[in-house]
Amino acid sequence: MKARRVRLRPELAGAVLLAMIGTAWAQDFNITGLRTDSVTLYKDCKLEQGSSITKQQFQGPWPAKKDPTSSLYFNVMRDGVRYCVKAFSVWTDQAVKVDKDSECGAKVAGRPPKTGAVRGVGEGCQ
Amino acid sequence: MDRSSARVGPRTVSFARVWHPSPWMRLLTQCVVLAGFGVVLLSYHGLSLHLTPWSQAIVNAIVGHVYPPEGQQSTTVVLFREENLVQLNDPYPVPYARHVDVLEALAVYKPAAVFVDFAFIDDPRAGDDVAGLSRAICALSRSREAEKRTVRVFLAAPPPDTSDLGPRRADPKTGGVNPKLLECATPVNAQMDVERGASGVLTYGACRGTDCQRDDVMKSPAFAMHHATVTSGPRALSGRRDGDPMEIIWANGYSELNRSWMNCRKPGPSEDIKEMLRDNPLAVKRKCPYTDTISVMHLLGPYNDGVRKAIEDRAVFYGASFEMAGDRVVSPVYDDLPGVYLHAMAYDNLRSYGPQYKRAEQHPASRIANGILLLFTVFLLMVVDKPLAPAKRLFGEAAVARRATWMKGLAIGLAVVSVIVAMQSRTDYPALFLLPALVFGMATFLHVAATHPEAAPPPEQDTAPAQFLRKGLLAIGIGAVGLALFAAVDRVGGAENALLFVVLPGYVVYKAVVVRDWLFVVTSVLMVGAAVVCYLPPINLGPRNIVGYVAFFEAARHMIKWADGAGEKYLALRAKYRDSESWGVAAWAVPLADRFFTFLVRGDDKEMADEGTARPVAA
Repeated sequence: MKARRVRLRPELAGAVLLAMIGTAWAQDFNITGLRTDSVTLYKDCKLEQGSSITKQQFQGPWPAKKDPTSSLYFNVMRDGVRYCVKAFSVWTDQAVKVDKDSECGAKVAGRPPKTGAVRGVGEGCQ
Repeated sequence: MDRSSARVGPRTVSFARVWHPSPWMRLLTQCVVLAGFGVVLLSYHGLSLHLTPWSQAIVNAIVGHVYPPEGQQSTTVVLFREENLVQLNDPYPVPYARHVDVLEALAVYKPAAVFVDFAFIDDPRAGDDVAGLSRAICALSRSREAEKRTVRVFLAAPPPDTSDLGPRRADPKTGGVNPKLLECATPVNAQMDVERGASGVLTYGACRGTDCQRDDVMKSPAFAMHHATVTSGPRALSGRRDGDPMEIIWANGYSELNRSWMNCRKPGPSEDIKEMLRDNPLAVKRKCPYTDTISVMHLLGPYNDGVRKAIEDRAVFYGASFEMAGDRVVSPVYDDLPGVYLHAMAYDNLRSYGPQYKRAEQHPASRIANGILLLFTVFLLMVVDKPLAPAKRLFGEAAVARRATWMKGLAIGLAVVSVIVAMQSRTDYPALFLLPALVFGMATFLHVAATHPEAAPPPEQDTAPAQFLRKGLLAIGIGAVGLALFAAVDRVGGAENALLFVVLPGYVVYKAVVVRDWLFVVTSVLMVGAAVVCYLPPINLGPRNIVGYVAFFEAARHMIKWADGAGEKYLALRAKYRDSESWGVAAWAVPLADRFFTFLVRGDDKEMADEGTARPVAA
């Protein structure tokens, strides 16, 4: 049987890519307001690339979703650019639950092993 | 040397008569010696150290049932855990930027006041934005301006500078805290009192210095937070004594919030018994703190109604639990906790009791209470078993007690009425109503002990063989039932409740049924009563070492029995052998020994007329 050749068509590949991005950015909820006087939007979720938006400047809602790497941030898509925003600082149109409480089963009381050292001592004394 | 023992003969001196002190002198001497023994034992000797944990364990169990919930409902700890450093990818010490996040998040949830248990006393590291942190503190402070309220923020200051650590550390106004952070915050003295044996930290100072009611004095975090959150009403601190050091009542209970996310699992009864026997009753401790707690991960996560309930209108204590940082507090109830819980618990006490918070051991009233308890125990020792005639006269045959039966009835009636009034009236000062009952109870008991020798356990030689066996079986039965009940109660209510509801009553039952020592039983009840009266307003003292006093009663009772036996033996020998040669000592030593041993003798059958000084007769 003659093998059938599949040609990779650029327009098809672009459509698939866009579909994938769209799927990745399927929003979970909307950010409807700011809880603090101003919030910082971190472009591409880089903490050194922050820009502030005040309550007055906010024009929502912003489509958003949970950050897959941290429960402390929401991902926001604005003008095709992904931003991160601190989760506690914004109002959402629905209660956002953390997938898994990282603190579950934590031990707060207890006797830690005694040590003869203090944290940080010795650093910088090479 | 006594004149009476002057040598008359060249070698041997015979002493015809034994010198006897007057009964009153004996009574007074025995009282003073016993009181001194008690003071040494309860204050300085290791007995206090060994018995305080037992008293503390009993107190813990009682506190678990009577501690008011008000403080827990208004206090929250926000904890930065070691694991959070990893989760947040933060270094140690925590960067200022992360503190800014926490303070911003706190502002969102509208707390009543915030204490930051991080000491900002060093110059910031590169990248730490002091101005940013200061702005966050100010923003938090102003976060409730719309409600015309200020959220007071307090920053931890280190202990006073005792060496030369530079001008900033020596500045009494800043207490060593970076002054740039104090624009909208107040420094507070985060010094911790010393631990006391196995019980841990039991006291809490109100301020740095002595006059804690002054506005310019640096207060402790709990007191500062209380002044900030409770400005009026019955719980406000405005009285002259409201700056006294506190005896912390470590509430013994659960926090539903903590149980929802912490690991609070405790080992089983067998483990508890093993720990208690191997170490002390306080070795078995609770695994979760009493103060409602959330971690910074909860706080910094998406807005959450549970977090809102934990923060809104509450006093928030923001602290840390980091390894190898040394900030731990040992308490009698909980396994070692991060130091911030000490301040939170002290604040909880203030919210729960207000001006009626329990005063620390060093308060003068505490010494007076201890003195009264000791005096009562000593008087009791004087009238039990073999009372001296003056003691019997004083407590058993006093004119009032002997002649006016109606007065006894009146006293008992008043005692009962005062207890009923205290229970029914819900007065602010129940100790005032209970005090007459206690005093009447103590006086009545002294009277009964002096006039009814059958209240003491019967002498051992009178025990018949059948009784001996019966008592043995009873003792074994009580022990077995006690053990089974202990396991059951421990499983349900914890080791301290098992101690309170099983071990303590079990021992009392043993003393009453097997040993038939009602004196011990009533003494214990009166001691517990005295401890309760001291604890209640307006006396407001911390828990007494009840077990210490009862143990002192038992130990001293055995000691004076032994001393009485030694004195009697000496007198018998002395009647037989009168010359100093028989005693193998120098002539001057015999009158000296007379003076010593005759003071040990108890009982009115030994009461003789003062025969004066022993008279030497030439051999």
